[in-house]
Formats: sequence, structure tokens, C-alpha cells
Amino acid sequence: MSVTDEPLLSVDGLQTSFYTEEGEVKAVNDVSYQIDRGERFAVVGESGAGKSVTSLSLMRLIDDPGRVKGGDVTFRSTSAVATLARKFPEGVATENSPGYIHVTELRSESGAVGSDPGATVRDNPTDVATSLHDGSLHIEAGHVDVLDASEDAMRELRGNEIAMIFQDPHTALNPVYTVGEQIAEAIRKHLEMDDGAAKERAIEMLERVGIPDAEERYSDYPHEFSGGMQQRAVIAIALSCDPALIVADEPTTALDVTIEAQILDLLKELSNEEDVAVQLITHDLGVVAELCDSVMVMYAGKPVERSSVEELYYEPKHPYTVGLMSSIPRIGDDRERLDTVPGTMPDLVQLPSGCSFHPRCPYAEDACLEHEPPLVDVETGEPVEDPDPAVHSAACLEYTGELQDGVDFDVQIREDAATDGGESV
Amino acid sequence: MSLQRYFVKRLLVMIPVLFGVSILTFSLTKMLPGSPVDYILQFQETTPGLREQLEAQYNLNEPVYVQYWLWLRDAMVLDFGDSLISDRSVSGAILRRLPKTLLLGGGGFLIAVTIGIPLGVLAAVNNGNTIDEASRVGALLGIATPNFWLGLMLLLVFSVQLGWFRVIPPDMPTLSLPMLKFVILPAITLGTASSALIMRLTRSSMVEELNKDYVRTAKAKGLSERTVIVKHVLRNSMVSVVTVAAIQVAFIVNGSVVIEQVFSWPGVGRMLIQAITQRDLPVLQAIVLMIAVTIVFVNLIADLLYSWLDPRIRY
Repeated sequence: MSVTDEPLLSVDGLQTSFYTEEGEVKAVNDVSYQIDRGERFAVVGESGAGKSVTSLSLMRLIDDPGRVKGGDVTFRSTSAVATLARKFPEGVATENSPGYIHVTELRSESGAVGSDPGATVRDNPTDVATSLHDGSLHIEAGHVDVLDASEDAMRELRGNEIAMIFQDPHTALNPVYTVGEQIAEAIRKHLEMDDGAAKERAIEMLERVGIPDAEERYSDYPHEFSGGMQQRAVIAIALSCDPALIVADEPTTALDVTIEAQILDLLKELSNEEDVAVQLITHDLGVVAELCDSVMVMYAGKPVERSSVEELYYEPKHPYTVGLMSSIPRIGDDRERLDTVPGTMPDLVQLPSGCSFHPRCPYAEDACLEHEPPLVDVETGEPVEDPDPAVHSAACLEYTGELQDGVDFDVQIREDAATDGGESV
Repeated sequence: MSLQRYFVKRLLVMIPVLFGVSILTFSLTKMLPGSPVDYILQFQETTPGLREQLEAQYNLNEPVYVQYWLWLRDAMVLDFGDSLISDRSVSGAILRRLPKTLLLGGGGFLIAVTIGIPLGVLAAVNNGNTIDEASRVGALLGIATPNFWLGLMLLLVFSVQLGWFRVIPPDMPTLSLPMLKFVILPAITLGTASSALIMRLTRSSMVEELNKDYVRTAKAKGLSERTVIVKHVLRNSMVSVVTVAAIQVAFIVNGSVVIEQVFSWPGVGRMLIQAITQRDLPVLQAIVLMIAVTIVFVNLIADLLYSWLDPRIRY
């Protein structure tokens, strides 16, 4: 597998729990997925499904009493590896010492260097760090183990390689600093620019996200911006240091629909033009259809279905996904009430036995109370080990052949609105 | 609104406030029982002529509003007349003692702020653990201890037992080294309760700010914990702290009257107590007016400070 074919981000068996007085809340329980370079990946689910915790875990921004319990997060960005190897040579992994920075291929002016580039870096860390700095040595391939990285190294990644956009732009910006300063601050830190250059770049960023009169708006305070402009400013912060991945946590939930459409268009345009991958967290399947390439549906801290967006819309496989789809309002639909998924998300301290979804599932059988369904390939029924987005997988006993009656729903697709989803019958 | 325009607007608002303050000061001191003339004559029987002559000398035979007007007219140019007791210029006497009181009050306020704010930040960052609990107990003690008692205890321990400080202040210029050394104990006495209050407030407002979304944004930018707290959170927390710190100035002014007694401090506070017992009205009016005006100005500064801290307040 060549370097660029490998996914930008691999999350493998991620587990994050909050230790409360009631017990351990398993907010994220064995979640795996991967995101390719430039891909737009959606994480969908109701409130409490563990979507936000998943992304905060990969940013390592989980506060007490929460803790990432297990799993691996591998981030394959050569620029991230180069920055970290330059600043934290002690974190580079070699044969003898484990580290979180893995350099797998180094290139000098004359060609590839050494059989074990990690050792090269290890043996003369300062030399290599200097060579990386002056550009005579390049990192061709490598990755960072995000969950093992030091806190200092994480601060290099945050905002620089992995940036975040938050739900409510009104509260996401600090009210007492100008919008411009809040963008320039990140630029000064990561791109090591002086005040003047950082200001210039911040103004460029404001222009880039479509804020008119960016130069004057630079010194405005957040309260002088409208909600949509505030979110554009938050996007400008995220974009300011050329990240490889932007994690957008419900970026349009707090905005009205016209602004939502504009922000989604902007995100789409930026991810196309800047080749930045987006992990979009949302409960809104409409937004997913608008923006994303592939999708993971989460329920009670676990992925229940994973596929490309198209397949998910045309052929949803998990009853929960179907439930979510049928609760989307549609134009031309004259039903009095929308379908809902009955019940609420279970208590994450004491999950129901077997399939966590069975108390709410219209197709639940006795087997569902006993066996917890693994995530399986819906075609073959084989468990999926590698979270390959090309394989449509779902966690339902239907696909392991353990259900007697099976799940029974139709998907109606209308020609005029291909993004409209299925309806359970 | 720009900061300058806000400043001008706030200054203009001060005019009626100061006017009201002067009326209050004048009428409250007028309401004290007993005529000053009685005190001048030391309650001795005299000829009616002398009494009337004295009343005329101090304008006491005029209607009250005329007395007020005459007083205000002179007060505007800082002329408060002569002391009834010593016959010396009131302004002169106050100005001689004012630097000492400013040193004491300034020291007390400095201690309140420089101990209160950092400890509050420390407690907030360690929310819920031992440091936080210890600071909670410390603050409770600080607030509950009467300042005159604390002053006496400090004197007893550090001046009498250990001999580190003098018991009574040296007769030196305000900004001399022995004076600066002596002021430490009274300033600690004066600032303790305020620093405890400021600490608790800094802590609670900081804990609240730490949970806000912008903190997560700042962390997600990759800023260090220190930058996030000092640059982003602290400035937001300071808005409410500034308000309370301004109120603490009033408490410190009050406290200094007592503390000056305890430490035999030659400041305006002791002069005030003397003026009250001797019904020295010109002195009393001058000092009360000065305190009132100080507090009005401190509040102006607080207003300006938090409009600088939080740009949303300028509207």
C-alpha cells in the first residue's frame, strides 16, 4: 500500500468513559473508523450517542472525570510527523525505544535515507531536527500515535493539523477579544509568524470564508458579528493553519436554515479546494447527504452502521438508521405526524443486554436480548476487522443470520429527490 | 461606542452624582446633635454676645441652604475653612496626613488584589481538590476575623514578641524605608478580609468561565493551558471581580479608620475620629466629602475598567 493510499486518520477500538458517582459511563465503546485525505466523513446519531466524545477523544480534549480508556488513533500526516520530529525528537519511535512519532521514510536531497529512519532521527536528533528545519531532509511517510503523544505534542497538533469547528458559534468565540485576534493567535502560535504577518493572514482567512470588508471586520468583536458570520470566523480559525483534518461538531445546528446552507456550501468548497478532510458530527441526515462521502451511524457509544453515504440512503441496513431516516420531514409529505424512533437513548451506565437498541427496535426478537451483534459486512455476514469504508457494514443480528423473522422495511426512492431516505413499513 | 466617548459620558454623569454627594455630606453632618459653638465654648456659660458672634463667624445664623451654598462654593476650591478646635486650615491638615492614609489604604488594597486574585485562580484551576478546599477554609477565616483583633494579634506576635516591626510608626516621611516597612502589618490587617472575598469571587467566576465553550475553542487551537487561563479565562472572570474590588475600596476606607487607631497611624482616619468627638464640623465635612468623592471616583474607574475588559459593556 503506498503512502497516500493509507487513510489520513484511523481510529481503532476507541473507548472513552466518564467515571461518575453512578458508575462508569461508557460514552464511546469500541469505535473504529477511518478517514481518507480530503474525505468528508459523517458521524451520525442522537444526542448521547457518543459522537462529540469521539471527536473530543481524538483531539485529546476529554476533561475529568472522563478518560480515554483504550484504542488507537493513528494520524498519517507527513507535515505533522515533520513538525513533531523537529520539536520533539525524544518522541520518535525506534527499535529500542517506543515513541509516538513514527518516521517510516525519510528523504534527503540525494534520496532516501537509512533503512530505519526512526533510528537516524534517534541517533542524532538535533542534526535531523535542524535538517528538517532548513529543508534538506524531508519526511516522506510516517504517522503519529495520537493517544500516546505528550501533551506538548498534542498542542502542536491541535489547531495546526487537526482543527475543530463547534456547534454554537455564539459561545465558541471569546467575547472579550476581537475576531481577528482570535484567528491571528492560532497563526502566531503554529506558523510562527510575527504580529504583522499573522494579522495579514488572518484577514486573508476572513476573506477566504466570505466575510466582506475583512480588513475592517478584523477588529470587530464577536458580538458585532451575526451568527452566520461568527461561524465563518470559527471556520477561519480552524482553517488558518492549513489543517489536514477539520472536526466539525454540529456546525450548523445553532444556525437558521439559510445560513446552514451557506455554511455547508462553504465547508464543501473549502474541503475541495484546500484538500482538507472533514469529520462532520451531526444528528441531521439531511446535512450528511449535502456534504459527506461516507458515514458512520452511532448508537449508545457504538457504531451500528457504516457505509458510503449513497448506500446508506438507498439501502439503510440497521433498523436505527431506518428510524432516523423516516423521521426526516419531506416536502410533499402530508402525514400529520413524523415518524419517530420510540423511546430514548439507554442509560450508558447500564446498557441493555444483547443489542443496545433492542428496547426501541420494532423487529427485536429473543435473540436480540441475548447476543450483542458485531459490526458485520451486510453482504457476507462476516465481522469486519478493518474499518474499510467501502464495505457496507451494520451491527444487527439480521446479517449474522440469527433473526428468525428478519427486519422488514421498504425503501422508497423518489426520482425528484434522490437524497430522500427510506421509510419503515 | 468607543472607549473615549464612553469615558466622556461617564464623566458627565458624575456631575449630578457629586452634587448629591455634597448635599448628603453637608446635611448629615448638620444633623449631628449639639451645636459646634457649644464645643468651642466647652459648654461653659458665656455672655449671649459671644455666642452670637461665634455663630456669625461660622455662618451658623444663616438659613441652612445659604450655609450649604457658602460651604459648597468654598469646597469647590478645596477651601474647607479653619478647624474649630485648632484654628488651622482644614485642607492643610488633611493634605499633611493624606499621604500616610493613601500608603496604608493602597497597601491594603494591593494585598487584597495580589493575594486574592492569584489564589482565586489557583483554587479555580484545582476545583474540588485539596488546594481548593484549603483556600475555602482560609477565605472563611479571613472573612470572619475582625480586623482590629487581627491587627492587635499581629502587633503582639511580630512587634512585641518577635520584635520584627516597631510598635508605633516612626516619625518619617511617607515614602521612607522605615515607613514602608512599618506599613506591612497594618496593610495586611486591612487587606485580609478583602483578599479573602476577592479570592472567593475570582474562584467562582473563573470556575464558571472555565466551563464555557470559548475555552474549548482556545484549547482546540493548541494554546497552552497557561495562555488559555491567563489570556482567555482570567480576563472574562475579572469583570465581576473588578466590581467587587471597587466595593472593597469602600471597606478599606472604613477599615483604615479603625486600623489607624490600632496602629497609632498618623493618618486621616484618626483625624476623623477626633473631629467626630470634638464636633469639629469643618474637618468632619471635609473628610466625609473626600471619602465619598473617592468612592465615586473608584466606581468610575471600575466602570471604565470593565468596559475595557469586556467590550460588550460599552453599549
